[in-house]
Amino acid sequence: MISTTSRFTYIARAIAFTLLFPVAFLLLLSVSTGWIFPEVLPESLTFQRWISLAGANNDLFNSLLLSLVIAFSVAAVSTFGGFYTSKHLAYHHKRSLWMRLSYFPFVFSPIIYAALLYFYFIRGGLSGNVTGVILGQLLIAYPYSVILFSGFWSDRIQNMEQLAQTLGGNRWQTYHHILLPMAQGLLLVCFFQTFLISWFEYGLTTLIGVGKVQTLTLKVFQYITEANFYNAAVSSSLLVLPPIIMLYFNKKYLFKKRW
Amino acid sequence: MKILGHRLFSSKAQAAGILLFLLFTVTPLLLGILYAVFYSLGIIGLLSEGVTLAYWQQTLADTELWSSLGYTFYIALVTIFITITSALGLTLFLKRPLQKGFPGFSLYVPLAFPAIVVAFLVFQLASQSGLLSRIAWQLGWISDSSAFPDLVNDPFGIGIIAAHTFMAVPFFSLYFINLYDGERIAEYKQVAQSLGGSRIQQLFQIEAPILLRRGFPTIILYTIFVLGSYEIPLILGQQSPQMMSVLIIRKLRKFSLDTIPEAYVSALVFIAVIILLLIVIFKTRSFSYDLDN
Repeated sequence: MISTTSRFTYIARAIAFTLLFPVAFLLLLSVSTGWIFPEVLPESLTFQRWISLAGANNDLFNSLLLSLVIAFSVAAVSTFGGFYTSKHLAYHHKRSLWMRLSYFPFVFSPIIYAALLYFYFIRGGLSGNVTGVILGQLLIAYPYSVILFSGFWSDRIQNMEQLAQTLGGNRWQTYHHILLPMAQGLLLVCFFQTFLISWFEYGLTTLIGVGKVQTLTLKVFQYITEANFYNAAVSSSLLVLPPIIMLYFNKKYLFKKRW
Repeated sequence: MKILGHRLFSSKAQAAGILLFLLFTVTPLLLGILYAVFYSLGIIGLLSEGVTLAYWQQTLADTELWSSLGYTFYIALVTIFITITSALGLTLFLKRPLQKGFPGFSLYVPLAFPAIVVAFLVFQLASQSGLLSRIAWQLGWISDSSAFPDLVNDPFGIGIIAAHTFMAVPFFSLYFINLYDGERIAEYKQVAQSLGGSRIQQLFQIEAPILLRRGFPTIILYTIFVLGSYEIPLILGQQSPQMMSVLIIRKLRKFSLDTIPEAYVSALVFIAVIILLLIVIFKTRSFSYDLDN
């Protein structure tokens, strides 16, 4: 007879397999050929799609690099910009108002927000290029970063900052030797979270980028509409694997509110 | 700088920080809403002929807007109901096995999936030529792919709900497990037990209410996230009714210029409904993320 505890353990394992199955399915689809209805398994396997990624001028590899450049830029600017801003918002007498306002870009949904701002991007010459897409994504990632850091600032941090200044430290030294080291863990979490906001983004990118800024998410959609499911699986795997590797190193990078 | 006796900024650094926030968050919000309002009133736009309420009257009288709004809320509410029920079940009954080893790791994996990939996966698994249909064929349950039930691009949004649920259940399970430990619910449960409370009473009068109460702001924010989702209904949704984001973008990108003001009216109605909802919900409840709390 199975005890209740071991029954729960079996159920937990079954759930774990269900949650990990999509990763295995994606990887299998990415190396499959001739997998047509009604076959449950592919006719044969090929690693050609993965090998060709390393080839010269590969479209998908270029999209991977572009996504990395955009995501790193968005993450770096929004993390440090958000850190600096949140400090001043936190100690301002209207902080409640600022905090409520910082939630609005999420309330709007990125694609609707992009639709409302599209005109300004066209007028500013920012539609259809990488700069515009980075700026558009920053409008979502930066307020997120402000919200994430808002919990960091407290009377204790303010007292330490004042102490450093009383002892003769200038503003740069206070940041360099006190605030940044104290916020190191949160800065790292924020960097990864804002990296993922950019990495996962599709709607805003396709609208502001007019389909010309071909990030990996756009490639997935393009391959789906072309019914090229094997390549869609390769691009999907490229999107999923970096966050899973991050997850392997530290789970907390992934588990934070992201809207 | 002083306003009504209050110093607006205490230093140049604070002024710079707040101006940065105004520039990158508040100004785009205001500019975006103003542009949509002006366009919807015919003040600007390629077909502008002066101020008119015609676009508002036309769009508000169109049943497509209201059926899309209703469909969007239906998807979000069903998703959240299934998600919260499942996540509460996993937290209350499987908390311990889900916190260690292989199951503990697996719960984090769906968080690494972007919405577009989840939509692609659901399509590959649940469409009429997908893996589930193939298994049903191999088992002799169906004789043809068309005999498999429509689970994607279907009128009930089953595919959309499944995709959102796959993303949300692990997130809320992790969230509730963290809350469970953080709120010291086990200790309250022990007190109830020593006072003679049954297992059912502990579940429904202590554990679930505390988790739901503390998790309320996150549940509301996630509902709004589902309401505004785009990629999943774009790939897994049907032609009509569509979820609001898909409807708005379709109207905005049509070749006919007539539908652009309608897109902005729909966007403004959607934003107003969500803001009203937030005001009503949070009128009597505090927003736990605020610094003041």
